[in-house]
Amino acid sequence: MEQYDVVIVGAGIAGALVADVLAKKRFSVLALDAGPEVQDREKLLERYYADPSKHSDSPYPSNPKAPQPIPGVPGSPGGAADHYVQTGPDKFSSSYLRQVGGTTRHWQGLTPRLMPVDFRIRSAYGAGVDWPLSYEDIEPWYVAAERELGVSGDNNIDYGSSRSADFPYPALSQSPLDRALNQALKGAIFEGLPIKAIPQSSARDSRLCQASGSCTPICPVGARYDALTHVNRARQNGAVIKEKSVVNRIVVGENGRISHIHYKTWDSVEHKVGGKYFMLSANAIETPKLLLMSAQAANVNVANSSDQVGRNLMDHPAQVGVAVAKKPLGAYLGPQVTSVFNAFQDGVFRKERSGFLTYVFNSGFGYPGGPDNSVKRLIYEQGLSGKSLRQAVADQPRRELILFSQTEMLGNPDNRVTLSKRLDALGMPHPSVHFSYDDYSKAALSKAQDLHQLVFDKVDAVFNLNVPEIFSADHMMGTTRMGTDPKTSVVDANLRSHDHDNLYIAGSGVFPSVGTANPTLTLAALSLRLADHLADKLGGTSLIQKSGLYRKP
Amino acid sequence: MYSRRSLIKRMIQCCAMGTLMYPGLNIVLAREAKQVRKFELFMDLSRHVTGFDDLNSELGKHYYQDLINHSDPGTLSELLTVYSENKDLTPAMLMLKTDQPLVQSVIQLWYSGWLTPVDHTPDHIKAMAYTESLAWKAMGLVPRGVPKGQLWQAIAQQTLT
Repeated sequence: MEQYDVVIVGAGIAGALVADVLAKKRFSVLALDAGPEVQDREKLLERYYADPSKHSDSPYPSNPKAPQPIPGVPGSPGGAADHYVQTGPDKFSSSYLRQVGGTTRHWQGLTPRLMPVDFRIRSAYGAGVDWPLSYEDIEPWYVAAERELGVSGDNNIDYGSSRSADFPYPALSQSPLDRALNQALKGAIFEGLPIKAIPQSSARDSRLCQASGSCTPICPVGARYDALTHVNRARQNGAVIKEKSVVNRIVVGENGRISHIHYKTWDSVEHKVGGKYFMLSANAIETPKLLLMSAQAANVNVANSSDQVGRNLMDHPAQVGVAVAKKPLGAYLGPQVTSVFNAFQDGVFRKERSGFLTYVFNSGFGYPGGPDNSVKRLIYEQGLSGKSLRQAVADQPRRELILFSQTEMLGNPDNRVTLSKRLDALGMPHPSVHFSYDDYSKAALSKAQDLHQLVFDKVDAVFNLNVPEIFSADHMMGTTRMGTDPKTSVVDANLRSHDHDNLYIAGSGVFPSVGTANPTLTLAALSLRLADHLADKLGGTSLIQKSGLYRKP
Repeated sequence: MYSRRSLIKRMIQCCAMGTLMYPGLNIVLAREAKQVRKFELFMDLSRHVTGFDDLNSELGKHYYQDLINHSDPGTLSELLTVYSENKDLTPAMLMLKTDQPLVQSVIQLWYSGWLTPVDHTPDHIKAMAYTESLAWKAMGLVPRGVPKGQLWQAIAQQTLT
């Protein structure tokens, strides 16, 4: 049986960052990914162009041997139920990719930090769960993550999270739409605070970005970070990265340590591999699924003495508002998102309801494709054709506005991932998901509607709608939560399993509570911190420490 | 499908050498010529109902074939006939006089580049249908996902002025 210092399950951003750091230190690293590795950007672009539905997975089709949810709003044909076995009461619609590079292949690249109070929400507001780490513990790792991902941001803006270092790159310029909104909103107040769209930091290199408008699902010029960057670096540093390798069992050996894992390649051949340390970074659905499969296979506990594996599944439930303004606002120009209303994330109201973070979409109604729906309306509903159609298409989509307000939901043990009886092509169970939105989040969705309406009024909307369905932000979190108490959490502050001292879990599944910030930068920071910890364990000082750039927590 | 020039050349060659040997060839050539005329009529109609004079004829061939494959051939033929006899009608009037959904399908094909998804349509054709779609041209924009060849920081500055 092959042996490695560290065996990583899942070569997305968490796995790739850890593999890269450890491989640089000359530790032997194997990273297995269930999905394929597709490096050819031209091929992916052609798939995107050729797919008339233009959804966030257009370049990355699901494969029966590593199936993934199909993006879609709740109730839509081809919604996420294709992979999930939904047991209700609400549909869980978060999508993800099973690919080398993981979901960063199609992410939008937005990188807000959590706020300091998000780490102690229970202490501050009596809601949710405190983290076993403070903002101060993780801040140096935020800096490290921003450097690794190449984040562009404005150093002069107070995002509510103090910074010890500048952003690597200058902020992306705000779009004409952002500026039009700020002009229309001059003097406007909501909940006692001015409404202003400020530049959002993002893992999009402002020196390369051409505003192709397709950050999700694919940047044609590679300005938007995806984890293939670190997959390739890790490989150059000696890590072994294997595609189409689906891990189906973690085996617990003597003294409760993990002895080896089993995986199946897409040709259905079974393999085993051993290691000193094992890290699971297969996302907040596939990681608990693997732990539960492993326990079921041997009828033993696998990292689940707390019975928390798979529980506390969270998303950032979102309110979407759409409007058509009286005059062109400049939609369809710029990266998909350049600005955010971030003033309504925090306050004493969090005792009763969540805050929310509102993104301004530059995409018009065509996200993430083209203006097809608008054009269809003009053709079929307004009956336009010829030169009058041409003029209307030149004008109307530029007046479109989408606001996307994402809220925080709280952990609920009944929101959980378990194993369904439905099997995929390699005989692995599809995840069964029991999920319901909570009142804490719903109250914030309602408040976000009020903000949307105010904005729509200020731009003299001739049409506006707060869409009645709750949208997913495609952020899966919470199913292998971090904590100090082994009875109520799966991993400790170092992301080590309470039950197996050589098993670690990375990814947003470890978040005990989730704030309103997109999770990727935080999970990247935690992964770099974990890489440092593993380097220590393996008997070396990591390069990241040697650099002197980052304060060890 | 042949271009007009290649068709004429071919016809002359065939007439000179082949028609005496193969009497049925005249019929085949006549049928081909009729198809070419119909396609050119389709392109003319497309220009009329989309409001664009410069349409990509290579894409037009695929759209024309797509319509032949997925609509009633009689209705399509009638639309082309009515159009050829009433070229002064506005697109809206033409829709009233003919099959409105079919005319709207023609418009949508050109504006959205939505070929009916069939497995044998190569991806590069479907991709071209998207990148050449008229919606983007009407908006004066490079299609989403296609490099602009200019940095956003510079484009954003230009929009300030």
